[in-house]
Amino acid sequence: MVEAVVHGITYVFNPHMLPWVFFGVIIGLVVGILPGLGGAATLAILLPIIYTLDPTFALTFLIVLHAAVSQGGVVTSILFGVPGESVNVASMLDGYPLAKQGHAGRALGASQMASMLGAIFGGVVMACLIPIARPIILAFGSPEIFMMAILGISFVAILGRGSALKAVITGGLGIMLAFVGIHSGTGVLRYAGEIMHFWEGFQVVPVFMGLFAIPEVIDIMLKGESIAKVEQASVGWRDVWEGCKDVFRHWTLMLRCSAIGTALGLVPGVGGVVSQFICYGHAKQTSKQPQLFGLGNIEGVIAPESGNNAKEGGSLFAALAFGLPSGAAMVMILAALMVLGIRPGPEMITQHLNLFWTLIVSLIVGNVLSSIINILAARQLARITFIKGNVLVPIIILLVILGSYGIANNIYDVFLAFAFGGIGYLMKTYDYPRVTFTIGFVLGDYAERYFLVSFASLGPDFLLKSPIALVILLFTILGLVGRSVRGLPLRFFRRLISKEEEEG
Amino acid sequence: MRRGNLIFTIALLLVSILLLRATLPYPFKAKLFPLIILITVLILLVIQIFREAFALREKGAAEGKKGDSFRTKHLTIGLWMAGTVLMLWVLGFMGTVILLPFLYLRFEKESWLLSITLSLGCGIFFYGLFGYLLKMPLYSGMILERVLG
Repeated sequence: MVEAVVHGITYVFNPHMLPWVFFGVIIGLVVGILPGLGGAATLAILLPIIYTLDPTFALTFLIVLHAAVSQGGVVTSILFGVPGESVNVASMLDGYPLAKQGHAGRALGASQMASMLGAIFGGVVMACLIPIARPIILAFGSPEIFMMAILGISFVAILGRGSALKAVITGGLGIMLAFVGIHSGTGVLRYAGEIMHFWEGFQVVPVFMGLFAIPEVIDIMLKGESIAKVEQASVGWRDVWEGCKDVFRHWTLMLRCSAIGTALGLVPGVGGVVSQFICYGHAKQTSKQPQLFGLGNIEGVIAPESGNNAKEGGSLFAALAFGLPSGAAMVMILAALMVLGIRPGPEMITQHLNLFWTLIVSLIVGNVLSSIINILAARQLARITFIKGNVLVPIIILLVILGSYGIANNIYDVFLAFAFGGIGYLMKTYDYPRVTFTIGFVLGDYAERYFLVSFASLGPDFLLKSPIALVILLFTILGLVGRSVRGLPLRFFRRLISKEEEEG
Repeated sequence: MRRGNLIFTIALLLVSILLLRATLPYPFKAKLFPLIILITVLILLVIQIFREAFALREKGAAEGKKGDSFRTKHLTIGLWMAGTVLMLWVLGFMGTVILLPFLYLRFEKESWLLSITLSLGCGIFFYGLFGYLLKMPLYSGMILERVLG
């Protein structure tokens, strides 16, 4: 195995390969930064081109490009509040408020350092887990995925700022939004009426763009100021470096979220959209300052970014070794393997070990290189937040139009984004948390689909038949009870003090 | 604000009731999950409405009045958003990419030089990348679609 690892490293750092690795990273970063270009779509565009290339060369190029996409996506999420990729929404929740406070450099530094360390963690752990990964992957069936979705949904009670009641209401309405379209279990058309565009359900990107980006545009239009609302610009290297150091200050959080991300990456069907929110929820649940989440807490940037990039290691492993894709991008990587005449499966470890390790090394190198480029560019990028609001407004609107349109080349998605923009603005104005709405929207369909599959295949007591699902259920209950119990002593003493004051 | 909060919550309640009405005729498997969610949401919304109504009765008079300029600004922004959607529908992708920055910057009394440079820059960048390099089928707009048949 050591030979294969060395082969992987020497192949990627080969002087002939290195410029292409660099080129792939640059394309990936541009794709990530521009909301209209999705990582999976770019891989699909490149598929016909790679047909004639050497398989190892072509796959290395695709993997580094894929690794760089989410690193680029976080840039627009932090600077404009417009998620570059759907996997960067959670980082936006605290990254954008930090940018508003004039700390875009710090947020970018932290996001890139967390991404880099998360990716290294994911790759190394996966390498060590090769002998035991198979039973782990096969242990995850529909009851376990159902409970993962429920665990994610339970975070709505934790993640909402302010009223927990409002958080649960919007979480529920988000779940209802996920039900629009043809029901996968029965084929029944739900809540779509005669509008054909809704039959396949709502796309994630236009909904997220509308809910988060349009209200921010309205905010800038109302105030007419730049995104950063501070007089003194703090976009020096010190700010970026401070962000990098923040990751080491919160190193246990970074490690925990990387571990969560790696584990979720192994689970087929659980993409980055889900894992980022689970990591974000975990960070808020365990933070000493949960009240600052959503207002610009650096932990809210570190957690989703480290989890998101660590997930890629697990996803790539599951895709290569078992042919199980975790999302659209991995489907494209599998398609590329097949185009090149390589069959994904256990033979990847037995017969193509050199290629397997080259791809794992490419993933790590792609992430590290994109983080370094972004950290070096962070100071200049952060200056964008100090540009006059009037100039930024049309640019952000165009990015929203492009991002919503590019996902399916459908103009109705843009109209949908604007409609959700109105809803998002009302939710923001009346303190209904948008983050819980998006969690419900992302996980609602998962929960229902895997519940029905589990129920049909294992019967009504399916939870009792799966020890892993029971453990996840226990974690869910502990998380929910923990939130209520944590506040109890405080409330008790507050009441006691107010009683004494009344009596006094 | 408090009155607005209450109205928004009532609107959410009405939407949930409409969804519940639409859910009832579905087969059992298709309505099980939505019913669980909707009934929970409806109960919570009713509690929230009571909370907001009580809060309004107690502190309603203390609420400050929003100024005319605040309303005018909101109306202007609403018109800009609606205008952007309309512009996109009628003129298509490229028309909007060039015209929107120009009109907005001129509306905000930015210089002619900045307005023209930014609009043309946006046009060249978006068309160059998406139309020319990536061959993305950019929506041509209602007018051009009619003209070209």
